[in-house]
Formats: sequence, structure tokens, C-alpha cells
Amino acid sequence: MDASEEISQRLRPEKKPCADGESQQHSPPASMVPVSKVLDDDNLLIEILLRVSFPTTLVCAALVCKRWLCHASDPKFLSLFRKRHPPRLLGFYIYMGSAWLWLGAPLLFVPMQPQPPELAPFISRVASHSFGADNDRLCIMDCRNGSVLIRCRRGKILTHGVHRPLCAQRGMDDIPPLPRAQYHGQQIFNTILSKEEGGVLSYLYMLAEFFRKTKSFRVRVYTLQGGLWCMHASATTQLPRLLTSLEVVLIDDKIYMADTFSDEIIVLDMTTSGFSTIRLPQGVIFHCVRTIMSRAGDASAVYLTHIHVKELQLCIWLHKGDNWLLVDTICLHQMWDNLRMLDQTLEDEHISFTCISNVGDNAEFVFLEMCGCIFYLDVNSKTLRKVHGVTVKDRQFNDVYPFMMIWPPIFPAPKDDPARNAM
Amino acid sequence: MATREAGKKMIMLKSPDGMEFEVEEAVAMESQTIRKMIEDDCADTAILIPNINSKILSRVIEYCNKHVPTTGATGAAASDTVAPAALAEDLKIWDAEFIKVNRATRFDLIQAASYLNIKGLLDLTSQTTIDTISDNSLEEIRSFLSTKNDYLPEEEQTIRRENQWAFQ
Repeated sequence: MDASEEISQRLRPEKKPCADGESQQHSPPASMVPVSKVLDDDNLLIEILLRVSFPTTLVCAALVCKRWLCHASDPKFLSLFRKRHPPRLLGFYIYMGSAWLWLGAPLLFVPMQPQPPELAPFISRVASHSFGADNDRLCIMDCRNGSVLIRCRRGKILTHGVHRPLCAQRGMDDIPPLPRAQYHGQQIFNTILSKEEGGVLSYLYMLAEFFRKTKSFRVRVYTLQGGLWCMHASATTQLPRLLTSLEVVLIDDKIYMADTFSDEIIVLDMTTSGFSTIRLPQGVIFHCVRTIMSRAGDASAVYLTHIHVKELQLCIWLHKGDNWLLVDTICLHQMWDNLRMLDQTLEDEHISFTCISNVGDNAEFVFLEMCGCIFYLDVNSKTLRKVHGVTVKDRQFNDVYPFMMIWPPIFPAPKDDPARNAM
Repeated sequence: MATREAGKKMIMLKSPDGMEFEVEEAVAMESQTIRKMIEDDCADTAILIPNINSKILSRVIEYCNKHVPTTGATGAAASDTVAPAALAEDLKIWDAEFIKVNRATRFDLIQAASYLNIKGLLDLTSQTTIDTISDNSLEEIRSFLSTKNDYLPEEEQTIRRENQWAFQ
């Protein structure tokens, strides 16, 4: 047994002294030589750190010493780590109760199962998070990278705040009141959008107004700076007809908007304050519960997931450059038949009420709602499973807000670089 | 044995302590480093493997022998007769036995796997160290891996504060 394993046994007598069945009684200190030959070798240390499974473990590893931090905080390393261990879906939020959504409702966190045991304490922390005293009048405005932006209604007063359920000790961050529309008598669409850079989340508020008389469509975007909403971009364009509802997604500096029954996406480029349009793929008409846009790894691309009702086919397109690329076609009938073999309680007619509740970044997963139950479709493995039983029957469409493990960790910039100095 | 190896290209691997190992080219090519040497035509019939002693090199060859895809010279894949799942299970059991070595040997094997670029062997040999990092407290990791803490308490605090979510 060598020195470190001896210590291990002293610290935790109930633990086996070593994991590899080593049975030597004594080793000279020279046995530490191969250990340091490996761990002092930057390339080997990187290889080992890359094989750590969870970002939580990586943060702990970075605290071992500054040289380890130096490797763990290297952007190149972080990008390799992310590729190897994509952020995990810990669970999702849904609303409970039958209240109208604009009134708000209590939130329920549903953990995704199965999960590795290492993540259990983190998941139970999220599940036990309290959204405060008025927790039955809530509405999720944004849920991303461990932060949940909540709107809370107290009588006629609306307040907004950001919760971080994984950070038990951190309280809610208040969000100042949202800017209001200046004129009346027009259609208004407003939404909060989020942007992520280097693990830091920032919020934007989009206020869109459609003036019936002139058919002009004005979009104003505010950013949150020093606790105030400041105007970031404003642009106006003409639209041929009244809007029904607007689905919005922010990718990089572009806001993608699509209206139900429309065959195009309106794009606002905030750097130029200019509008453009993207025609949807042939045969696709945007529908608020059957079509959804989602972010792609590439800042200039956007995913579109759509259910063709007749064929019960789920299609995933990627818009890149000026083209739509059909990335995946999934037959929901077949997925359903496979699932029914495992779950006898599912009835055939359920499938006809299929809605898309949410799609993950890069269209890695899709949440579907069929007759009050929520289903998770893993796009890579093409497997469908039921993740939540009967929700409220009278709420036809249940929003699902995926809650992912936080990524990346935030490390301070190394002041000196011991790894490089050592070379 | 001679007939089995007939027709197969053999290659000589030499350790710095003077031992020579004759192995099938396919087995040696489990190492991406050696594969590249062979493909770039940089390899003579004998390749000197620096820094890896005969004891470790023989273990590495043992690993590669087991993990080389089991396609015979005739083209008939042995895996046709054995179910892939069973084959994978067999390899897993074999790997678990293979890695029952002392700590010094394990770290030597990590180094060898990295130098020779054998991904599976690197995964296997570094797992215990990864488990050490994953399953222990910070103090324990430092003492097990004989690494010295060079953080000031406030520096450590900053990282803990910024990444509060990562701690239990």
C-alpha cells in the first residue's frame, strides 16, 4: 500500500484502501514517481480531466491546485469537455392547476429519470427549491442554464425575478418593471429573451406592436443594464396581415419570429435594425403548438421542428446559409407503437392530439404532449418515453421548461500560468 | 501457431531495455502512434518504443492482442459467430482482470497508452484516477494524488462562490 492509499484508509476506515485490488504491503516513496510522471505531464492531466463525467466534478478538480485550474479553465479544454459531456437535462418545470396561464399557476419540477447517482443531490436541490410566498401565481418567462426568470402576480401587480434553484444560498435577483407600450389600440406581443456568453446570462425584453391602420409592425428591444431596461434596438416594417400569435427565439444578434398559419419567419437583425424573412420549408405552415424554433450551436443557424399532422411525422430542419436541410424525420406512429408495447395504459387515440411543448438546443430532444401526458423524445436514439402522467385535463396545452445542468463553470482568469512557467 | 500466423505481416517492437516483441502488424496498429509510423512508411521492420520498459510493453501488447478486431485473414469475421453483446461483455471482464495491477504499473500504463495513443487502454487505465477525483473530498484528492494546494483561501472562495451550484 503506498502513502496516499494509506492516508485514504486512515481518513475513511470503512473504505477499501484502493480500487484496483492492489495488495502490496509497503512501497517505497519511489512509487509516487509514476504518479507524478503522469499528473505532472500536462497532456496526460488534460486527458484525465476530460474523462471526468460531470461539470460539478470538474469544478472540484479545478480547486485541487492552480495548475489544474489552468487546464480546466482553458476555453479549448472547455469546448472539448462539453462535446464529450453535453449538459444534462435534470428535469423540467410544468404548471399545476387549471388557472389561466396569464393569471399564473404553481410550478412543479419533474426530475428526469434515470440519472446517475452523482446527480441525485443536485436534482433534489432543484426539486425542493421554493419560489416564495406567492408560489401559486407564477409564470416562467425564461428557463436557461440554471436560471429561471419568473413572473409573479400579486393582485394586479406583476413582479419579475430570477431564481437559481441549484444555488441554495443565493436569493432571487429582482428584475425591474418591464417597459410598457406607448400607444393603445394596437396588437401587442411581448416576451423576455435570454442570451448566454461564457456562462453569463443576460436578458432582453422584446416589445412588438402591430398598428392595424398602417399595418406597420414595430419591434423594440431592451437590455438590462445596471438594473434598468435600456433601449437596445428599434425597427419597423410592414406586414400584410394581422398577427395571430408570435413564436420568438433569439439567436446571437437575431430575433426569429413566426406567426401561426404563416409560411415564413420574420428575422430582426439587431446589429443593423433591419428585417428579413425566411420562407419555411416546402409544405410547412407554422403552427403555435406544432412548430417550434430552437437554437443551434452555430450562431447563424436555426432549427425548426414541425409535426405533420396527417402523416404524424416529426420533421427537424436546420436553416443554414440560405437553405433548409432536413436533418431528421421521425415517424411518431412507429414511436408510439414501440412505446405501447411497454406501456399498456396508452390508448391509440392519444396520439392524434400531439403538440410540441419544447425542443432542446440543437434539437437534441423534443417534449411532446399527447392527451395530457408529457413525452420525451430522444432525437439521437429515436426513443420515446412518457415522463409525466396525467396533468390537468382542462389545460389543453402544457408548457414544458427543460432545466439543464449549468455549463460552463465560471473560473477566474489565471494571474500566472504555472503550467506554462514550468515548461 | 506458425500456420495461424502464416501470411500475416509481423512487426518487431523493441523496448529500451533491449527486449524484442514480435507482433502482428494489425495488433501493433491498435496504437495510433505505430499505425501512423507504418502508414507513413517511417517504420522499419523493428520499431523502438522509447520510455516504455519491456514489462509495461508486454502488458500493452497483451491488451492490443485482446482488443484487435477479430477478423481472420480469410475475411471471415469471428464476431459473426459470437454475438457482439457477448463479445463486449467478455472484453469487459477481461479488462477488469487486466487492470488489477499495482498503482505504479497503472500509472506506467497510462503513460504508455498516451504515448502509443491507444484510446481504449487510456480510458481503462485512467478510470481509477478519475474515480479518485470523482468520489473524494478535495483534501483527499490532493493527498491521494500528492498534489499541493497552492490557493490562497480567498482565491478558493472566489471559485466556490462563482460556482456555488457545483458543490453539495
